[in-house]
Amino acid sequence: MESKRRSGRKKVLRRNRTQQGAYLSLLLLVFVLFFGIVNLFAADRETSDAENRALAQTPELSWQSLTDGSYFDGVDNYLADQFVGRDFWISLRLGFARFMGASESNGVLLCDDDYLMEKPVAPNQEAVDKNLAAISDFAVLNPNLNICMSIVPTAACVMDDKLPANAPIRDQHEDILALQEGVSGVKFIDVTDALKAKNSQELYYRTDHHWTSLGAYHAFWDMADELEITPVTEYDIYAVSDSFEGTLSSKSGCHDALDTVELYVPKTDLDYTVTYVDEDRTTATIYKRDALNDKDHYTVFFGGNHPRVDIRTDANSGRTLLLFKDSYANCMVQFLMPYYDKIIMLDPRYYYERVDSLITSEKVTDVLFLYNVNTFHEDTSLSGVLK
Amino acid sequence: MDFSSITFLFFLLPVSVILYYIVPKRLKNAALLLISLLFFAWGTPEYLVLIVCSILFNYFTALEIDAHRRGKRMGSAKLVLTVSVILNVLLLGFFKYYGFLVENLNAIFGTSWTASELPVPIGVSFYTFTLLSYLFDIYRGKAPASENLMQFSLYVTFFPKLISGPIVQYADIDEQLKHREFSWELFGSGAREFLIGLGKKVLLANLLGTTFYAVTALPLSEVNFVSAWVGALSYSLMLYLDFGGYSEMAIGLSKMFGFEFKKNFDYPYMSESITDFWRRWHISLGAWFREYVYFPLGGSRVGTAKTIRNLFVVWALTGIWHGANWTFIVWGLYHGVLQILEKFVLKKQIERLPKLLKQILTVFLVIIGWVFFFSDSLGMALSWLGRMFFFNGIGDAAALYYLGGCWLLLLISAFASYPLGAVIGNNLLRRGGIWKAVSIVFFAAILVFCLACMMNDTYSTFLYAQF
Repeated sequence: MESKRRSGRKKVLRRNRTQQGAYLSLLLLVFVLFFGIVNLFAADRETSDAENRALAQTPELSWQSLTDGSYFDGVDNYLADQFVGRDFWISLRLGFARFMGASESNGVLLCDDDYLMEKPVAPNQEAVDKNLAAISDFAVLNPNLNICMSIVPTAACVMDDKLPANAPIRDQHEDILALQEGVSGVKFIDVTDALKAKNSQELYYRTDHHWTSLGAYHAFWDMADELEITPVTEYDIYAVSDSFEGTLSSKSGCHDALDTVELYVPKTDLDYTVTYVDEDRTTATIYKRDALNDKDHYTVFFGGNHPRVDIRTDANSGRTLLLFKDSYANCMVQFLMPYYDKIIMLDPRYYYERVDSLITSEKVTDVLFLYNVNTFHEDTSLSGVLK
Repeated sequence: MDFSSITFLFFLLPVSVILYYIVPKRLKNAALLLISLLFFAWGTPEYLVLIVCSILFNYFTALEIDAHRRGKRMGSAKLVLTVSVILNVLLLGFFKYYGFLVENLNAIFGTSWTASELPVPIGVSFYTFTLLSYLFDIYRGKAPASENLMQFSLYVTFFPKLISGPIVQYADIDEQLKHREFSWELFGSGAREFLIGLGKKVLLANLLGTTFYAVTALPLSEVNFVSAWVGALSYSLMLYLDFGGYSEMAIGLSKMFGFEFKKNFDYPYMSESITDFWRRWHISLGAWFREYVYFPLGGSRVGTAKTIRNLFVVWALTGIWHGANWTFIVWGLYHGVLQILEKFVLKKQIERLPKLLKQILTVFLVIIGWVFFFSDSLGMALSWLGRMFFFNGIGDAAALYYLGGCWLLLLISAFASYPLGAVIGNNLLRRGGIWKAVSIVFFAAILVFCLACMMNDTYSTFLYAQF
């Protein structure tokens, strides 16, 4: 009786399994055929906005590419890159990984409040030591200049309350203190505390590794004393974009937030011209409106990085500022302009000439080294320019 | 090419299934052979000529062995067998162990010979063992040598098992190469196994890999009790779900073409002893070594001393088969020694233990073994083990971060490594009705999430393909 019932139950299971198996076969075949065929007919894309990169195209078939295997790799990349709904699938993957507990994606930290943050970078110690020594030597050779240096922390340090719990990252403030320790003859301005005090505000973009104009504004006020300027207090604030998706968004595949880009224009009647020296081009504004039609809205400031940019103003202060900088400084310059007759922005990553002659010919009075910690830790070009 | 790649799933899979089922019966093997050679070429096209030569060589050699055997000239048969086995092993050795050998000779004699780095033909270890199995089976008369070159080539290169097995013994597949029947029961259970294997590999193993590689990227000085165990556990589950999942995909695919292979994994982490573990982990490899090395040496019927020698031979070989590194050899010998202890020293004591305790002890010993398996060097393995036993503190924020990021994944992965899921599935399926529909939706969800995960995982390849 018992064994009869058991064999009956086995029979039912077997029948149901066979039925289910047939449905699963159909599911699998229809699924792969559907996407296989749709992919065959869907139009190829040149680039991906979401990932901010060029996508693989149909690989070229040749005897060479066949025998060395590059053709097959090409097909693999082509099929993956041109897959229908690629952006959707990538978001779905990220959602799945986050559900399973992931708190980073492609090295980007997925933080509270839709913030994406870069991990603090460890120093390239040899290059950092060289740069610090070069700055100290520069200070000795130029005792009459007001030389300031500020290495700015990134979001992962300032907004550390938003980091994933226990995230194992470097203490950037310690890194900054070590940099301060390693340089002499300059006024080192550590803006970490000033920024941390305001860290409930939008000091950094959610989707990008840069700070916002507001972040730069607070840092500027913290630096003003050492820069020997008395800041104006009134600004016209223009929100020029509310749809900025920055590089961290592309890198992580996380598209949960859009950022607002604001311009801070001091309420003065300052007139100025901006000369892009390498391109021999002069404009009347430091803002590049066209950039808002492109992907990277942060390039609204100067259109990005240039080897050398000269700004001439009618401030009549008798002061000229030489600014050694990375892209963080691009949105700081709007605050600095009213206090200098001339600002010379040098990006040593792209500028290869010597600066000593510049100091006399341009009658430089002030120098500012302005970087964020991550770029400074990896910079290998500053010492070469200072020599 | 890997089954969990977009190219395979959305191009080669539908093409091969359609091709296989539209060609007439006498061309079905030819269709499979064609797809298999394409599959092989996808990884290392430069070796296509090599594999064709190797197939022809072994095909004719086997016919000769068979002829000698039938003519009762066993001496000649043995000679031909020996020469051809040596040639096959040399070929494997050249690709896999040449660099390792040169490196060790340099260390011993202080020389500085260089070994040129050639890419390894995909699946060369599996492929060579398949051929050896064939030659041995013919020599022993377990099956007649194949006169059909097509069938023989298909046996050697059949793409579902080409990269990573199961290592099918010729005597088991001989008949299937000649006759296969279609049934929905077989095809459907193939599709089911393929989907389950795909889910294990793509959804679980690849994510476990993220945790494992993050933890092992830490400087050893920062690894402590918690992080060392997070690393060891995630690796243990990852290796099983990756390799076990891949084997399930391989067996499932084979069923879709009418082949039935024995299962390659049988819930290894519920083994009650190391001996039991090797009846459940990579079953086809264990069976191969038993059949072609252990038994011919006399197995366990030749007295204790010789049995122990035989076990050492088998486990040193098993270790080095997995890779050209001392860590693999130590790992193999570790498993050998444990089995010798189980068989000869602690047999009575072990029998008295309750089942659950035996299972826990076994899985613990297996995990210790995996530390050797995943370490780059013996030194790293030993320091990692030290950290698993409190030699570098209990934990820190980083350890909590990794544990917090993977505990759910570890739980789900453990669930997928034990039979409970299958039991529940079968129970619901027996009730039928709505549960049948629910199960289809469940599998559809697996497929959808797998596609999503594959889109970003183009860089994460199959772990076991390197062996």
